[in-house]
Amino acid sequence: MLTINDLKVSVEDKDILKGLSLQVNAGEVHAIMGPNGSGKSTLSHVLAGKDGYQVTSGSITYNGSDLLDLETEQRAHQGIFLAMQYPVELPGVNNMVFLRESYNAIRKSRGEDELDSPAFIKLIREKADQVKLPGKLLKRSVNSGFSGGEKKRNEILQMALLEPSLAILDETDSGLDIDALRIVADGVNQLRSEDRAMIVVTHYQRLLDYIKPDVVHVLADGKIIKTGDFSLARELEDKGYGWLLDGEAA
Amino acid sequence: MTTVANNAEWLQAFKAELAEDDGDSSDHFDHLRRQAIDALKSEPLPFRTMERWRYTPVDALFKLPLNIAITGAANDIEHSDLFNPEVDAYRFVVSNGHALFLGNAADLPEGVTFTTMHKGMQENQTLASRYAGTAMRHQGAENTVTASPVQKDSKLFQYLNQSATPDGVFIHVAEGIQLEKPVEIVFVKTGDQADLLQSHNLVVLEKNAAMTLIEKHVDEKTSRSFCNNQSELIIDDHASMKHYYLQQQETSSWHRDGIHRIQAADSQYQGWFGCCGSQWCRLEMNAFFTGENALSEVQGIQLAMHGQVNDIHLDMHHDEPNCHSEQHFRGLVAEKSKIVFDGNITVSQDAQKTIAHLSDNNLMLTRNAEVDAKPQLEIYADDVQCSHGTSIGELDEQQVFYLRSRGISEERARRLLSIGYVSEIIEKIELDAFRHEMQELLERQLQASGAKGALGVIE
Ligand SMILES: Nc1ncnc2c1ncn2[C@@H]1O[C@H](COP(=O)(O)OP(=O)(O)OP(=O)(O)O)[C@@H](O)[C@H]1O
Ligand SMILES: [Mg+2]
Repeated sequence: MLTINDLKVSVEDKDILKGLSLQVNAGEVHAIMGPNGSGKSTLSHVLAGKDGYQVTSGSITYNGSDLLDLETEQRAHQGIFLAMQYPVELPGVNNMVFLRESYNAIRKSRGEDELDSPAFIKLIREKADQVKLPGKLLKRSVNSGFSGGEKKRNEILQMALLEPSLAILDETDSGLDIDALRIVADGVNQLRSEDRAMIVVTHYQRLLDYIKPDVVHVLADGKIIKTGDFSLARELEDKGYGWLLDGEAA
Repeated sequence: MTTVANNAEWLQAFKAELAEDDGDSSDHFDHLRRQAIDALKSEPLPFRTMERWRYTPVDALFKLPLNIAITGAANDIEHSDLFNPEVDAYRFVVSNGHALFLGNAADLPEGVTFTTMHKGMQENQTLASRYAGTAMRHQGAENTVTASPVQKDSKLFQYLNQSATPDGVFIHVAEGIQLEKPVEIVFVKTGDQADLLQSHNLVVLEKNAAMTLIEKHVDEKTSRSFCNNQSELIIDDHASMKHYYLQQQETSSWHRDGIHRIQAADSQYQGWFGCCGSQWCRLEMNAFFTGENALSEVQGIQLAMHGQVNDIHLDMHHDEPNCHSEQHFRGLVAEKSKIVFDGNITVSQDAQKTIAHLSDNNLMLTRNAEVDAKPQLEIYADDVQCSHGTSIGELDEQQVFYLRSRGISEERARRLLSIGYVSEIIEKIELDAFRHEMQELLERQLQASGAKGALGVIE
């Protein structure tokens, strides 16, 4: 589904991703772990098409075509979804209106009919219940004055609503209480299917215990330096990154 | 000495016509008119060396080929679709300067007078002459400002209006009467001639009276006309007024409106202003507290996106103690357009315990636009709570990315965020129907602008 080949990305002439390769097949859940500042969010942003990053070499192929050719919104139309590490506040933009605009924009891009207001309200209520997002947050401005955990739940709500084919979760579990962590894990597990894939960026094994990813990668200094199965996450939890980084340096 | 580089032909013609008729000087209105005619003779044209005209280009107005005689009749268009269908209101139309009450005067509660200025001067002369001109000519407290030899303002447009004694709406609500239905006035210019159109409106609320006033300024067609209006709002003790104002004329036209308000003790005024239309739109609001414990809340939005100039001058005079005023505006500007906001609060020496706040925040949607925001507090009392603040910002690209990453197009994303920016003002509009009308208007205007790239999308 997603093939990243020798990707090099810089920001303001600073090299951040330094030859990253990754293959994610439909049906798989990949976890990416790695030290702070190693480039995990950069990778997520580049996949979602955020401006300000220069791809200096390498390629990203998504469902057989060049992802880098697509505008941000086109990627969303083709099923890419990024739950952001720091969801942005949109004062004055009503959450319900936003969710409907987003949902209908994606439906429309697929040639489907837009959902009318009553039907949408019914749908979003169900989804909000599913991710235990209090109904009053639907009536407020998007993420405006939401607590850290509420913002993350709002991201999961969007994922549950949009049902993306490739979901990237950038530290969605950070700053969440234990119940919320379960909600994120459930959100991921419910979406899991043969034709979908997920990339879960996290610092903690706890989320992975619930999710049981198929593959675990370690991203350090702009490269994937180790790939393993779920047991790698355990090992990292015990030993930290030091042993891997030393190995890298040697 | 500055010489003005145009010959203002229509103004000359206007003055020449005035010189020809002499009226009856025993009449109150004619007396007012004579004074204005005299003042008009010596009043200089507005010029950018005057503080009140520094940022507002006006030269082109004097070069318009304006027709100074009112053309078009009062009733030559179908007005029913000009009104907000959601509101059950008493309706007035002021079409090409002719005012008309569309309801039946016999249905009005006793003590309520709805008429036109021209009729009022004849049929309700005592009432009309008691109030006409009082708000407009109210001087307020003398503050210890050092007299400046430099002329700060030109009241040319005010005199132009008064000297013609134009028609308009005259509303009088007697003591203790609270009108349940709002009054909706639609000012409409029909036809495509470049006309000078004027109106003078007078609304008087006696003690303990209350009413809601909706006014809308629209064009039937595009034309290079100039509407020069004047309104006086007189709000007596314990009376209260809610005022909804929407300016949405075509971007070919010119519009100036002077709203003069005096508020007596314990009175309340709330105004919501949507200034969105015309190629040049200037709103001058001049308000005085003449008694204690009065409240004034004025909020609004300014929109300038099609090479427009949108200009608001607001003067709130706190001449009495214990009054409270709030004034909050937001603006959206793009594409060779300009927003001017000149907000002044004066607190006289006697006006202790004044509370007054002013804010003006603007969003520049494209770089080739201009905002001139000038807030000013002039305080002569020592026990007051006052503040002011202005800002000019741009859309946050992180926000745009967030929306786009959810499948929303860039143009739509910018539009949602722009509307979001002014929604703080819009959400506070009490009257649902007016809020909806304003929302729809904004959507339409921004959609039209977005299509032309004025939201910064076209590369
Ligand atoms: N706009 C930018 N300008 C300059 N440096 C940047 C910019 N964006 C990212 N960086 C740098 O790139 C590096 C990688 O950042 P990134 O956010 O991708 O790390 P991360 O792996 O997500 O870290 P964390 O675990 O803390 O979230 C960091 O050193 C960061 O400071
Ligand atoms: Mg990160």
